[in-house]
Amino acid sequence: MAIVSVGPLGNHAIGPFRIRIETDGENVRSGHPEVGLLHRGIEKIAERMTWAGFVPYTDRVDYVSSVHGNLAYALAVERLAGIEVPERASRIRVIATELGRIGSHLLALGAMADVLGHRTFFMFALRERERANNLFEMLAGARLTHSYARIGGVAFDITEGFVEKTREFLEYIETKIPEYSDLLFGGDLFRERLSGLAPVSSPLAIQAGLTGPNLRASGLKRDVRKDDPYCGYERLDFGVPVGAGESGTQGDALDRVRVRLREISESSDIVRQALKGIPEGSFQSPIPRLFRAPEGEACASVESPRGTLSVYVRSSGGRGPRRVRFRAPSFSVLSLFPGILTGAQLSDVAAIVSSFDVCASEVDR
Amino acid sequence: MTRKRYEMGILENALPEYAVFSRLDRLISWARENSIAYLTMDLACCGVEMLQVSGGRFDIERFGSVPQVSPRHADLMIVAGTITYKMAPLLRRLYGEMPLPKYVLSMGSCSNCGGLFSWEYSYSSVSGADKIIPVDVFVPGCPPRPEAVLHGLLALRKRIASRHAAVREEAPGEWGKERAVK
Amino acid sequence: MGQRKGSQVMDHAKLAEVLRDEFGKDAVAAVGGDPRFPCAELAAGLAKKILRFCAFEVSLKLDFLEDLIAVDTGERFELIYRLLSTQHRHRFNLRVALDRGAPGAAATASSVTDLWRAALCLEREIAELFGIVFEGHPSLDKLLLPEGWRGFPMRRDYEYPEDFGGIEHRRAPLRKEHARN
Repeated sequence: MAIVSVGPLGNHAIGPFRIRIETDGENVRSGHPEVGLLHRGIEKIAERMTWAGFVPYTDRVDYVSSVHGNLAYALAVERLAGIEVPERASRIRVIATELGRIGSHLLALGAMADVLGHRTFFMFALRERERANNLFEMLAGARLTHSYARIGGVAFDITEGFVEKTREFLEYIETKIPEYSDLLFGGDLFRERLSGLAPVSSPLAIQAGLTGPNLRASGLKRDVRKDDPYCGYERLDFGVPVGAGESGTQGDALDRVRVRLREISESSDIVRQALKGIPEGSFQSPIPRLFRAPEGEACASVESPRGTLSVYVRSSGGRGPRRVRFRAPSFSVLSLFPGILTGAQLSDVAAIVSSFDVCASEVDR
Repeated sequence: MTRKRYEMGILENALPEYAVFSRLDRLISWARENSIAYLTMDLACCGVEMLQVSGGRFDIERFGSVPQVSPRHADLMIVAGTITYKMAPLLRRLYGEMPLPKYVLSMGSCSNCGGLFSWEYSYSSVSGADKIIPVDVFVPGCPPRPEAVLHGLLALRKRIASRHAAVREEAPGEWGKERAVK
Repeated sequence: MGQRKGSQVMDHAKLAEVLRDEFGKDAVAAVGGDPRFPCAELAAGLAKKILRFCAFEVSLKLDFLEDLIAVDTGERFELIYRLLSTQHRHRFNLRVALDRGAPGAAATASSVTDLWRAALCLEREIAELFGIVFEGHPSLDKLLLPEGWRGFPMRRDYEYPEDFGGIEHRRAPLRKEHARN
């Protein structure tokens, strides 16, 4: 019985994520994740920061799509302090979060392809993500970790030309999705490697606390944007793709990949709707420089590309939060181990982990 | 005849100054600069930007740099992201396993000096890669733009050409004696 | 919030009623009426029994543990269970207050890993960051912190370490005369 380590470096997860595997050479007996390699103590840092000063740290909780972290924190603080966000800001937030979702899913699918050896698609995914990065640069001034959604609204208003450039991007990505769907699912590579791999049944998914595409691949249609809408999602018309086990078992790795690819086209749909008739008005509700939230606690959830990202804040009336807790969607994937790897082949371990789209910074915070 | 500083390299002071040795020197530097295989220490947000640098738009490969997964195949270690105390021994170990000549490029604020997660804020982060391993080039940014990383790579090439980077000393601190290939 | 036809959606006041009927008047110590964060505080001694009831009782069926939040308020620890029901689509926040324990001794709570598998890693994290021992947890190994870490970081009175693993924690800030552009 040999002990082999997958990670911590590698594209099976975004960030350092190590799995210690007991194997007899090919068959895996058990696999235990070793996390905490990126544990930076963000929740403790919150106790030392001011309310607004903590926003850059919320980027780093899930750095692949940082808007969702910003947004969850901003919504929680707005709920706590009773701040009304202008319509325009909510609409811009929707656009930013959906663009972030597209970028994140592209990276997740690209990393998955890289793990399977399909390096071409990895390069394509990075290329498309560059376009999404350009849009963020235009909107927020940075490509990654942009601290865009702030308490009370967003950091900057939509710049001139952003709407046109976004429409161009959407047209482009909508022609690319059928192409990529064909590339991924038309050929044999993904199907043969992933179909029937590590299926997660819906009772297991509920027990483990999975959310997001991982849960939807198992057949459960739960999405924070539908169940508990925020930022005006209740007025938008979009579907929530669910895995159906078209080639293999429901809830297997191929379903998770399929759900993510379909979500890219759903997000592009949402952005198109959101770009029509953006309400006039202010892009943020001004808050005082030394903002102090009233005493109490509040919690807000958003649908991040990995699942339900919730932020709980507690205030004791001071210049900064008393406690901030991030409920990270990737953390729930840990509860699936070691069972999910038992009986798998050693060469499939990276593919299994990669299909759950784990972001190590979420797991560790 | 004055020689520009970058022409004097590895064989300086070893032999009298004949033109042919200076050229051999430059030949060695040229070979080393143009084939820097790098080990991707993709630790945090800067890791995503590092992936973008290896992508089609910024294309680090046109400089001859190919990402490697094994430290034994790498010349350069790009430390991209926050280093925690849990990760530090692994970083040191991987650095030790790289064969000489080896270089380190510290990418981003977290590995330059701790950045957002420096010692005053985070309890579990090491405030800078240079506390653990010797660093040749620091690329500032949070995360640095891919162009900045490429600039750092070009600065590293200049440094490779000079004699300063050719000899690596062991890093300070009591890090144990792992088997470093000389 | 989305509701299925025929399912009952409860609020915390109704939940408190149901729990008091089942476990007695003292089962629910308080029902927070704050609309920002509706919450029901459970009596510490009955917490595990109540949570088991919540997980399996047909009208509640709280089968999804979304999050387990630990807070150090200074006087006591609080564990907040955020529970969802996938069937009935209601959600509840249940708070359990724990004694800090004597200095040197750990605070204890009952583990809920037999009710929700998600608690396995959630409780491990709280155990190493707050120093709360969950009785009944299969293995409270360190999850996020390195082996040999001293102290419980998320506690209010935590002092940052001087060094760890031979690396000094402090890094001198750049002095003005050394800064050059």
